[in-house]
Amino acid sequence: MKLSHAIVVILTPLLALAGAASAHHSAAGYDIESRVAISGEVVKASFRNPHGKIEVLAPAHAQDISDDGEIAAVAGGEAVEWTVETAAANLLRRRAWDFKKVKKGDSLILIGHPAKDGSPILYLREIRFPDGTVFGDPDGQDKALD
Amino acid sequence: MLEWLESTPIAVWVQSSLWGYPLTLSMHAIGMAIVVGLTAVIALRLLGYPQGVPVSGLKSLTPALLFGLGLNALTGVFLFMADASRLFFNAPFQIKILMIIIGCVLVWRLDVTVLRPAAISAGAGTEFILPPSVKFTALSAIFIWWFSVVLSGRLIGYIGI
Repeated sequence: MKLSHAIVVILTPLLALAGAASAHHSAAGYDIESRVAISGEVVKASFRNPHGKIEVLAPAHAQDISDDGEIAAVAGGEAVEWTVETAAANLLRRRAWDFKKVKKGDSLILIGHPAKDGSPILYLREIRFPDGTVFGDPDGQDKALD
Repeated sequence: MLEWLESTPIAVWVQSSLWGYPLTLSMHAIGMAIVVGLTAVIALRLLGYPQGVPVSGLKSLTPALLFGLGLNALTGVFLFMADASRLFFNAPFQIKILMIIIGCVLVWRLDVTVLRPAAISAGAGTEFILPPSVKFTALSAIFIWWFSVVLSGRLIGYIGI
């Protein structure tokens, strides 16, 4: 056995694990058991595969949603830039989301799963527009992260 | 630079079209199966399995192996361009690229030390004796590819935004 080979074989799995472990702290997991709302202004929207992203300027504290879907008043806090992650563009297309309707500067209500660690990120499930239009999942299949 | 890569026509096609991402990712998976599968076939034979298959014949697999590598280099570049500003800083992605480089070097070593000389010996009618270190290189190649593709590659989707 050559020493260089031994080093490669021993070090690389360790590197992989170390990388995974350190990255895990910064990665925010979503609390898929709960849903909250944020009301704010779209800064940038890009619906892509395998995941899209919408940047929204909204109060730092998200609004709670009651069991019957009622959104609580804004809890307040300074406006911060939220990063809203979406499911794959193709999946949202199948749910009849019209991406052109989400434009920079629009005021929207975005509903989704909050980050477990409280950082301003959201996994998007539903968009409510001022004109009453709702983008969501009519089939109620959006129970797991997709 | 990374932002510019994401705005190129190929990147936009992967990001936004109905078939761009599914097609590119599927091709990437097929290429992966070819590379990892043929590396496993070659490496397992050098470890002694299956018995009775001459080592000299393994050289004939390299065009297919190179085709798989080429397919994955191409589709991999497309997938990277589509999500460059995230992937560039993504730890599992960085590890995956490192592993692919190591994996290519190990396969290349197997080609130089075993596959080519074994084929030449068979052509000349002389006996080829496997160098003793080859089993270790073969085993390393399998593990490196598994780590790069199966683990690091898949973790890109789950670690880091």
